[in-house]
Amino acid sequence: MQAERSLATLRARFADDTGADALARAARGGDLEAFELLVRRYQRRIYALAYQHLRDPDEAQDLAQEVFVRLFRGLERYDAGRPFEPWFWRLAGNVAASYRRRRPAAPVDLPATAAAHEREDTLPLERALADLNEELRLPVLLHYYLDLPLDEIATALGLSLSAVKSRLHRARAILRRVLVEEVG
Amino acid sequence: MAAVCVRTRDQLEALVDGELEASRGAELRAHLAECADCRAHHAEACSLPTRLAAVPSPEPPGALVADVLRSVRRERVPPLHLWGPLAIELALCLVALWYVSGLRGLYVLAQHTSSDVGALLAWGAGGAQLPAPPAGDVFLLLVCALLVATSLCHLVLLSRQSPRVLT
Repeated sequence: MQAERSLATLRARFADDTGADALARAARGGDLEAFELLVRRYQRRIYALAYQHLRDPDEAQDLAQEVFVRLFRGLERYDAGRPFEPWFWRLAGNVAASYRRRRPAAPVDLPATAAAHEREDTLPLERALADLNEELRLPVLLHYYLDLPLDEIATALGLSLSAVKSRLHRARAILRRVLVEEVG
Repeated sequence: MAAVCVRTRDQLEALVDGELEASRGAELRAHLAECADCRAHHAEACSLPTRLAAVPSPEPPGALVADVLRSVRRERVPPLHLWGPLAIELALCLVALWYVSGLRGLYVLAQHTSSDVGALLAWGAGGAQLPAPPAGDVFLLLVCALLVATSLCHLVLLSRQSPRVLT
């Protein structure tokens, strides 16, 4: 109830269509409510990225939280004259890439997080995606899942544009072979 | 598997993305027209980007926003080193207050200040010797100078902090 009230207060202060750039500028100036709205706005996509990257709900929550905390700490370095999203996705990509280096993956099964009938079509693809090695999986998630352009992925992951393209091609080729074999 | 199939499948993603030279693209399409296995790979390669974008993910946990805000609020607490100078400033203020009110009182201080200022004005006009300030006033002046210096350092420390830490 209290959470709903505070959300209503937030929405009264910031219109729903308040741009992410404006929210980021306000948050950069110390406005915690603007920061909260940024978190609410991006939590779904960040959690989805974290979940697809780590395949573990607890670790995904941990990673998503780390992305937002690092966002808060890094806001003072955000250049308010530039668009927020590319900068933010770069930060998220960096945090996601470094997260796995710090915490080696434990073998996990795909948890039953969505209704089985919803996932029947995508389950083989999810499995194949989970089996990809990390250096191929992250560019795939950033490009196809979060819709980031190739140049932003290159910046986010510290790679050249051609390296990103090459990884995406290799990743898709592996996924395609696995899926064709599974069907065949 | 025939060598031509291997070469074709190696370039299917580039074909789908339109990154092959026209002549090579035509060669691949010609092979796809006659090879059912490679066509199956091509169909999969074509649909993969859309299917990847449609992979479902669970909803973020309800506590995520609250957890993030809790972590962030903890970071807003000013670090301990920002409070350190306050202790020094407080001690210097206490010394100054003790001197002003404990020894001779505000009235005496005001009297001395007024006579010092009068003597300085007279010295400035060339009508008197430069007054020698009492040792106690020099001590007070030193305390005040120290207080100003510490406060300036403190302000520099605070100005280097993120605005979020201070609000």
